Amino acid sequence: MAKKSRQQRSKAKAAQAPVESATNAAEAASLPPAAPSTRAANEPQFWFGFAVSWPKLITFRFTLLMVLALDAVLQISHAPRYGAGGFNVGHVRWLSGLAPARTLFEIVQLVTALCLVAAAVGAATRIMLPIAAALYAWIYFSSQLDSYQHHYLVALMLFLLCFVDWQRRTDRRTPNVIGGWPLRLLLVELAMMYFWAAISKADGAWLNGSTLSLQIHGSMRSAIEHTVGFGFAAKVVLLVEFALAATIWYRPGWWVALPMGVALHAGIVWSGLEIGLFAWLMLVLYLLLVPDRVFAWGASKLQPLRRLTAQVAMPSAQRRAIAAIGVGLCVAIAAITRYPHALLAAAIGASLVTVANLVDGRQRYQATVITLLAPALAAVLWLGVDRTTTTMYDYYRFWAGSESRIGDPARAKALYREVTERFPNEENGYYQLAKLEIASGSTDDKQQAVVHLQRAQQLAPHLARAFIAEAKLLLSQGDRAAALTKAQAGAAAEPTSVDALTLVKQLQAMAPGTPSAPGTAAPTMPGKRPILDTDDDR
Amino acid sequence: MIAPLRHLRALLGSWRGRFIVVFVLAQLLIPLHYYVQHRDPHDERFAWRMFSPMRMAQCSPTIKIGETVQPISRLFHDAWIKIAQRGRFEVVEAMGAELCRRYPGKEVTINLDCTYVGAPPRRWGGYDMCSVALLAGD
Repeated sequence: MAKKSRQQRSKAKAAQAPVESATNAAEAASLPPAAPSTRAANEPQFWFGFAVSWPKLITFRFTLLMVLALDAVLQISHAPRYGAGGFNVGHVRWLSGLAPARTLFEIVQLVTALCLVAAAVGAATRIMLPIAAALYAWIYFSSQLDSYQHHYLVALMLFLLCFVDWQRRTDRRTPNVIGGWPLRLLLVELAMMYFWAAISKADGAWLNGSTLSLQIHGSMRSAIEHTVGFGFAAKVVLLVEFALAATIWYRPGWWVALPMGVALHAGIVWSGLEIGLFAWLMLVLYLLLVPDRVFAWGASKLQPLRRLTAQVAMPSAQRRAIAAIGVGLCVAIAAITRYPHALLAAAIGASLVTVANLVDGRQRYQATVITLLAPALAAVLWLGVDRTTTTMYDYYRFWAGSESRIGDPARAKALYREVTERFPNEENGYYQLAKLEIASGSTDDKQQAVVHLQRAQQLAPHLARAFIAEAKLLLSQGDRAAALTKAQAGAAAEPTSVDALTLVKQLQAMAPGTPSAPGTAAPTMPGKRPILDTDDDR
Repeated sequence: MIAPLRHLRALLGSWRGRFIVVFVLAQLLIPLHYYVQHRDPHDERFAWRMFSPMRMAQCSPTIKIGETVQPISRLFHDAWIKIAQRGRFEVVEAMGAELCRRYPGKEVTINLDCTYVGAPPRRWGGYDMCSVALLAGD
């Protein structure tokens, strides 16, 4: 019996060994399944024989899902546009009525990010990923406010990734075929995307370079202008997209697709196009095309990390204790972020991860420390975005700006006051608050406006607008001399400000004692993009 | 039997294969829809037309309620205005429908003046959206 068992193990090992050592996944793909059923044997190997090595798969999963989690948190700055004015049009009409408003949008993005982080580190990935995919699809398809085409790609991609078998094979009798058809379908999807993108550029307005020249800015623009020209560059882009469509979906073509695709998307990063994390996302997708041996080499160099990520048998009390620490840290970190509903999102997200970990790990009694700490890791991401980007500043100023234009001016004033309290070193909050105070017309408000405009002047001494606003306010109160002094200060602060210079001239030309129109609002600055709290990035 | 047909037949033999077939067909046909039958040339969603010449279209929507031209920035959020400025009919039409609801009994006229890269400018709409809900060219 023991001999038979040893023989079976030996046979299984023999069948398994080439797959596990197949650092070049081309070899892995060509391997026959160890014990295929008749049905499986009939299934096309192009789809169902596709495999990547385990190190590549987890590198891809971690990088991709962490980028998407980051993107989800960054989207929170746009939350105020959701539900504003009670107007919405969905990508899918019947979902229009189900679109989240500002508060729900913020919570859902935080929870989505938490689910993605959990899935990225392998915490019940088979449960957390479908939840994240569903939340993502709901947010995307329920409103055309998000019209990024790459977010549509992400929605499709997350859906496909739900079908990936993320569980590392521990049973050596079955081949270590990882990834499978969903990853192949993802590559085919990318090929179709490139194909249609190329077709859309088979147009005279693209081929002559005029469209491209309108889209490229910065150093890349001058580089193209002074070398090959936009007409040539546009044709190259078209050819590259066709070439990627032809090569990205099958393994022998990867040697062409990888350098070409990375160059294309790195070029998009360099071009300064304001398209969110699209180029970065695409660069991450190209990890799938990197030879498996690179990941095998990387894995061998990162042995110390394995202690953190290795599945170890753990007593249930210990597992529960680590999970509780993860949840506790998540809530504690959420409490120090500036997202208005971070605690609620932390409670929902951490509960989901905990339940999913319980369901997923019930049979295995094995866990990795990192999966149990996933909620805390997600909260660290929330905090990182909050403290290192303008996401929350944008959130509040977009909200206040939206209220001041199509909402309640009193609410807008309260929100701008909140902006000045939360972000006391940002000039814009004081300036916009002062504008609303001037517009309200009350004497008390105007006195407050002067204080706020002077604070704005201190914070942005190179901008004329707060000086101009105060000058106009002084003029409306009949103090021409003080208004002129202030306008001159504005012109000195920003010598290129046409408004400041014009105002100085007008005030100098004005005879002393000339009455002025009361309640004059602060002007914009022609020739220069005014700082507006408009959430119109796409 | 030629190989592609054998491949397809093999695929259709399992739920996973049928899923793949449906997915691939959908991703080929949905973008095709833009080229063979679209009412709105500006609406490039789901067609993978990133950075296309049409994406550079600039439209200027003007809204008249009754006899008064209303500043659109006081009616809708900037993000929706931005989409309207890209000329997306579905959003502009929904704006019209929303204004018809907000101002019952009044005419809501929307003009959408668009300029294009490498194509002449066009005007869309210009009539009461409460009577004719869909945008059409002049």
